[in-house]
Amino acid sequence: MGKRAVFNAFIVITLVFCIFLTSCSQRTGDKASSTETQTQPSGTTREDAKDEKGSEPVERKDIVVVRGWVNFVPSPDAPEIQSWNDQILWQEQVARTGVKVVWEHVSSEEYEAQIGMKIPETTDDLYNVFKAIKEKYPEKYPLFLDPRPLIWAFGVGSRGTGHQNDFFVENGEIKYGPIDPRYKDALMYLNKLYSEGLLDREYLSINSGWTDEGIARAVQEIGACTFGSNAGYLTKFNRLLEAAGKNPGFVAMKPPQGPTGERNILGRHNEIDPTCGAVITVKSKYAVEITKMIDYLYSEEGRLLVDFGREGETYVMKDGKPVYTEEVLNHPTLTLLDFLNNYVGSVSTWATVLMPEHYLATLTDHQALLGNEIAVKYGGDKKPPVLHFTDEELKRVQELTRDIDTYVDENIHAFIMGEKSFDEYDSFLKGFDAIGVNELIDLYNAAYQRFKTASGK
Amino acid sequence: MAYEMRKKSLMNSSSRRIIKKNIALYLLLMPTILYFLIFRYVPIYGLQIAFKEYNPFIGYKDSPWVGFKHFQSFFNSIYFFRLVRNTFLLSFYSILFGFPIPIIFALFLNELKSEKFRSVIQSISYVPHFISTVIICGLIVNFLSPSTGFVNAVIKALTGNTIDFLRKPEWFRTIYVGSGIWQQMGWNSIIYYASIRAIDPFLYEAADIDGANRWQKMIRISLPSILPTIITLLLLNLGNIMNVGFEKVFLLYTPNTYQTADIISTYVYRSGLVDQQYSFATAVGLFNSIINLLLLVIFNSVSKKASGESLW
Repeated sequence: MGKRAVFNAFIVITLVFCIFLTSCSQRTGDKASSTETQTQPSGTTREDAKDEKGSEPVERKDIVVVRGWVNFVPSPDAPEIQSWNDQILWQEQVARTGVKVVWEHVSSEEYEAQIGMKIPETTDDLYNVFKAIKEKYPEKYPLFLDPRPLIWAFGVGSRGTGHQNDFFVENGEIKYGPIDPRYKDALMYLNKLYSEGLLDREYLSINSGWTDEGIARAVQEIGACTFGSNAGYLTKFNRLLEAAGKNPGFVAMKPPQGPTGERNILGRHNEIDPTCGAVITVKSKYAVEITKMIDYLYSEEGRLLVDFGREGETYVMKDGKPVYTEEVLNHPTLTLLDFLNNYVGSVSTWATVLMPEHYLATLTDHQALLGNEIAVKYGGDKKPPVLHFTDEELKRVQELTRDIDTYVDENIHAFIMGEKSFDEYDSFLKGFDAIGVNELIDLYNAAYQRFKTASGK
Repeated sequence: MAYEMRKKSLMNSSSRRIIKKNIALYLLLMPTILYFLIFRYVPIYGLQIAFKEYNPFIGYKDSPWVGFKHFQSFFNSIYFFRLVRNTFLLSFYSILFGFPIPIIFALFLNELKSEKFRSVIQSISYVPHFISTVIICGLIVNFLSPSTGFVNAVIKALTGNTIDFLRKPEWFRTIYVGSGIWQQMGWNSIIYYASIRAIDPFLYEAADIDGANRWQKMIRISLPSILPTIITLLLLNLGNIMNVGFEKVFLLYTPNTYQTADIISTYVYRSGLVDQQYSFATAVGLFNSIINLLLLVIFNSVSKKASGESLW
C-alpha cells in the first residue's frame, strides 16, 4: 500500500462533527401543530391575547406588522411594536419545524474496520488519534479550518462556524463563554494541538471561514479532520475529492466528549431563522389577503407546495409522506436544490417551514444522512435562543460588541498559537472589565429573562 | 440707467457668444461637473446622519439629533489610537515607498532607446493594475503560504525555515506596501512618462551641445520639468492619507495581525454595517475626511512656502 493510499485510509478517520439544524424540541412541534389546526386569520394564541390590540394590525408609520393576523408562531418575547427593528420581530415569528431523523443506525465497528483505529470518543482520544496521524504524515495536519467548535466540547459557548456570539445557556441562565474557567481549559487544549503541529498552522485563513482556501486544504489532502455546520459539507467535500480523482473518504464522526462530559453543546440551529422575514407596507390595499397567503404557505398544504411542488408532477405521496418523483431526483442537469429553486418555489431565501422529508432528500449520500443522524443525537442544548433587544439595548450591544469581539479574537488566537503564554491569562481576563463586558452580559441577561417569561420556561 | 442696461445686454450677448462658440468644450465638461454634483455634493446632505440616530423608515430629515454621540463612541474605543495609527502608517508607508518608484521608473523608461522594448516593458508593468484586488490578495495568500507557497519553498530551501508572513503582525505593512508598489507602479508612471514626453526637445538639444551626459540631462532637465506634476500628485495623495483601501486589508488580515493591520474601515465593517449602524459609519467617515482635509491644507501651504508649487 503506497503512502498516499494509507493517507487516504486515514482521511477516513476524520471528519465533520456533523451538526445539523435539528431544531427538534417539543416546543416547536407544538407550535407547528397549533399552526396547522388554526385556519381563521384571527389567531388566538397566548401572545395575541397579551396584545391589547388583539387581532388588529399593529400600525407604524411605514410598515404594518401583521402580528395579530398571523397565527403561526408569534415570537415568544415580542414586546410592543416600537421601532423599525420590529422588522426583526416579525422575522422571529417565522419558525421551522423540527427535523428529527430516525435513521438506520450504523455501528461504529463499520468505521473501525475501515480505519484500523477506534473512533475517538473523547477530546483526549481525539488528541491521540491526531498524534497517530501526525506521526505517519508529519507534513500534513490532522485538524484544519476553524478549531473553535472544539471549545463547545468543554461545555462553554464560543463563536465559531455558524455561531455569531460567545454566549451560552446553562442552568436557566445566559452566560458569557470567554470569562468562564472552562474556556481556558479549551484554549489550553487547542494550544496543545497547535504547538504539536496537529492543528493546521494556517487555520486562520482569510476571514477564517469556509473559504475556497479551506476547501482546498481538504482537496489537497493537507488537512484530515474538520467541523462542518451541516451534513451537506460531507457531501460537498467527498464530491470534490471524487472529482479530483482522490478517495472521497470523509466520514461523519460523533462530536468528541470533553472533560465535563458534554459534547457539542451548541449543536443545534436556532428554531427560528433570524435572517428571513416579511413585512407588509401600510400602503398595501391587500394586507389581509397577503397575510392569508403567508398563512397558507405555512399550512400543511402550503408547505408541501413550497418544498415539494405539485402532487403527481414533482412529488407523490408514499405511506403518507411526500417523495420527489424520479424526474426531479434524476434530472440530467440540475441538482435537487437547483431544480426546486428554478421550478418549484424558493426554498432557501424565503422563510419557509423546513420539512424533514425535503431536507433529507437533499442529503443524497450515506455519510451525510449518517452525519445528520449523529448530529441530531448528540447536539447539546446550550444554544441561546434568538434574543430580542429593544432599540436602545441593541445600539449599546453593537457598540460594546465592537471592542469586545476584537479583544476576544485577538487574544484567543494568540493563546492558541502560543504567541501569548497562559501566564498572561489573568491579565487577559482583567482586560474584560475595561471594555464593559459586564454591561454586555447584563443586556443579554435582561433579554434572556424576557424571553423566559414570555415563553413560560 | 440706460448705460447700465446696455452694458448688461452687451455682457449677456458676449457671454452667450462665448458659450455658443465653445459649446463642444462645455459639453465635454458636463459629465465631470455632473459627476461632482451628483456623487460629491449631493451626498453632503446625508452627512447630517453622523449627528443623528438615523432610522431609514423615518428618513434623513426627521431622525432625532444626538449630537456627537457617535464620535464619542468611536473615540472611547480602547482601539481608537491603534486604529488611527494603523490607518495612518499604512498609508504613510505606501506614499513614502510607493510614491518615488513610478517617477524613477518613468525617468528610466524615457532613457530607453528601443521603442519596441519600451512598449513591451510598459505593457508588462501595467498588467497587475488590471487584476482585481480580490485576485491579487488570493495570489499573495497563495504565494506566501508556509505550506504550499513558492516564496516559502525558496526560503525553506535556503534557510531551512519558513516564515508565516500573513500571520505575523510585523510583516503586514511590508506585504501591503510591497504588493501595492508591484501592482500600481506601471500604471502610476503613465502620467509622469507623459509629462516627460511633453518636455521641449530643444532643452535636451541645448544640453547636448553643452556636453551634458544622459544622467545630467535626466537630473537637470527631466526631473525639474515634471516637478509640478510630482508635487500635485503628492499633495493629492497626502490628501487621501486616511483613505486606505478597505478591500485589500480586509482580504489580507487575520486576528493575529490586528495589531498592525486593523484599520478604521475594517473595524467599522466588523462592528457591522450588517447591523445597520449607518450613523456610526458616517461619523467615522466624516472624521476621516476632516483629517484628510486638514492634512491637505497643511501640506499645501508647506509646499507653497518651500517649493512655490501648490494646488491653489
